[in-house]
Amino acid sequence: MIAILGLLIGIAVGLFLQPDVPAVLQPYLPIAVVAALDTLAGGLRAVLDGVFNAHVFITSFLFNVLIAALLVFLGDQLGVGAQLSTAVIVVLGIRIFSNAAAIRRRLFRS
Amino acid sequence: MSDGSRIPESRQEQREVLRRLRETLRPHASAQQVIVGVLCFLLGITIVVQVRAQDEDALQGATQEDLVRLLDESDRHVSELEQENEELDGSLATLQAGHEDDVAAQNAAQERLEDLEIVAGTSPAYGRGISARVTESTGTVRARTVLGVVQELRNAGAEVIQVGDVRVVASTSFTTAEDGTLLVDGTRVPAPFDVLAIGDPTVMEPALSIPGGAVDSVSADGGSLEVSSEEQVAIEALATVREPEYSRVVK
Repeated sequence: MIAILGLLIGIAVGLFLQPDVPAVLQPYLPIAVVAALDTLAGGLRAVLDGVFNAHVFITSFLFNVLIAALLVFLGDQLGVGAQLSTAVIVVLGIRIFSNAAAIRRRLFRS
Repeated sequence: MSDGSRIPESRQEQREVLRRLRETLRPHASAQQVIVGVLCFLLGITIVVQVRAQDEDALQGATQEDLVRLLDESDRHVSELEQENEELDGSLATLQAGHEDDVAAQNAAQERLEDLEIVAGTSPAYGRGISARVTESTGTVRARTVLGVVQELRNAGAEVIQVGDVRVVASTSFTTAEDGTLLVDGTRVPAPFDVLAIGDPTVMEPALSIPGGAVDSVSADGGSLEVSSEEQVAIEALATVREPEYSRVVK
């Protein structure tokens, strides 16, 4: 509940304050967002499985975001930034889909 | 992480799942829940910021590679446009040159038209020349005598000639009416009348006055011809041009 509230408040604050992102962080932001969404989906699945652990969720959230950003940074340095970004997005997208599928199976009996 | 193919097998298990969901959605004031909330809060802000940045400027989120590619593309586009500009400049210059040629040709044609109009007698003319007055005292000046005067003037280089009120052109006729009056192109020209000619007066005046010339033949007809050179002779009589009925231009 608090998580959903936090998300909504975050969106509201973002709309209201319109903060500027430092140019250095610009390329990593979209990847970080997708990684965070993936972690959220994984967390929800864990909740439904009854194995949710807040510690695990928080660390995986931060780690996923950091690793995603790091991969993009590394890709930029190696000159394959665009490709590596695409790769990360694809992997995260697949994970989000599989997590969403698992959540669906638990909520609706087939 | 467990595999994603596990399906609740019984109604009871399904209820258990829904209970967990409700349990989670109920607010707890635990530190863990708050931290998760804060993380979601940050995620919300980030999503909004990113969406906004995409809306504002697509280039802001572009990677260095994309930017380089875009720059290359616009460079290529610029050089293409420059090339096109050069081509258009070239055709503009060509067209301008063609236009100048056209103007020159038009001017030449206009000059030629004016010359021909003067020769054909369809436009008024003025210039240096002579004025000769023909008077009759004892006899009648015959048509062939006037024709002789005109021929003398033409020999002396007269460009435009007018007898009485009639413009003299190539097809002008000199005849005599039944009562002896001079007819120029069918128009009665009773004496005294003026013969105007545009040309070099220093040539035409002596040409008329040479012994046995025009002045003498007019005197022989019982008239007189008084020639005076003029700085400005205006010939305003016009001849009408007839459409050639039988003649065709040879091509």
